Amino acid sequence: MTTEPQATTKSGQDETVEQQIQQLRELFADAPDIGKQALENVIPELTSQVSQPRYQVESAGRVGVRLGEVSELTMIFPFAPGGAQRLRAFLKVLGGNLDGANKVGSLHDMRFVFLENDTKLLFCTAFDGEWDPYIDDFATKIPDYLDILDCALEGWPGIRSPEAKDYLASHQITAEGWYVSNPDLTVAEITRLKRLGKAFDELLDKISD
Amino acid sequence: MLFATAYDGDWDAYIDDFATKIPDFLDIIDSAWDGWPGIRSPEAKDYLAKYQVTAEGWYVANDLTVAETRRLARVGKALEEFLDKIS
Repeated sequence: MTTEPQATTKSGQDETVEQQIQQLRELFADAPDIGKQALENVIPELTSQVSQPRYQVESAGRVGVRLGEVSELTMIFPFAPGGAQRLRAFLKVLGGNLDGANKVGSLHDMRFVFLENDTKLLFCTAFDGEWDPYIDDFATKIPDYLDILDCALEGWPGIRSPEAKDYLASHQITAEGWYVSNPDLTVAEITRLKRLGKAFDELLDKISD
Repeated sequence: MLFATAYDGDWDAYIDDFATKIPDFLDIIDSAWDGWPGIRSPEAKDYLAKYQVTAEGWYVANDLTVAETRRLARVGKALEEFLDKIS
């Protein structure tokens, strides 16, 4: 038994960090030598990281996980007939640059990747907070852009449809591992800090004049 | 397995950063893959590049590196503490 919640496994079984590491060692007995040796090299560091994580992985709401303020979203969709060609043409007009999405204030980054000979689309983002308000943010700020992009997908009901969220959630896969360099900082806070930093630099320039 | 990251600057320097700072963690993770040569192998970068698919569309909210974001977070904190003191 342990009193540290982070020392228990996902399934809620009470296992100490040492027991978990031991199980990992047993599993890695069959691993390639490179992996086996690497595990032995980091056992002390790993033990301390697992015992005292800086942040806990939490649920991002309907699907996905979150560290601090920042959540992950990973979706894979089958393309509708002709969809890949249309989406590629649209993205090409933009030069692959989706800067128009800066109206969505909760969005950190976003990518579109074509997979398996243009039969599937991978869509990944990092965003602030919970799944439902994030999707609402997209749907409110850039509904038409969303429909231009998503009509390339098989069965897309349209962002104004009551089925839109269920459609999106059904294609999302929760990450098994997630890292964020500054989990405390939302996009809004980073933007505020950037303004503050600029104002501070200007102030220092004035004083030194 | 799908592995996606957002990072600062150029590909080679970024992979070198991973390889220098956390080679063992990289090998623990990557040894799960078929044919991973090990991060210390001269073939490691070719192996990684071969499995990468370039995005057709990309968006980033701010033009800040991780280092610059951290610096700004420290400046913001220092300013708040300063304002608290003079009030």
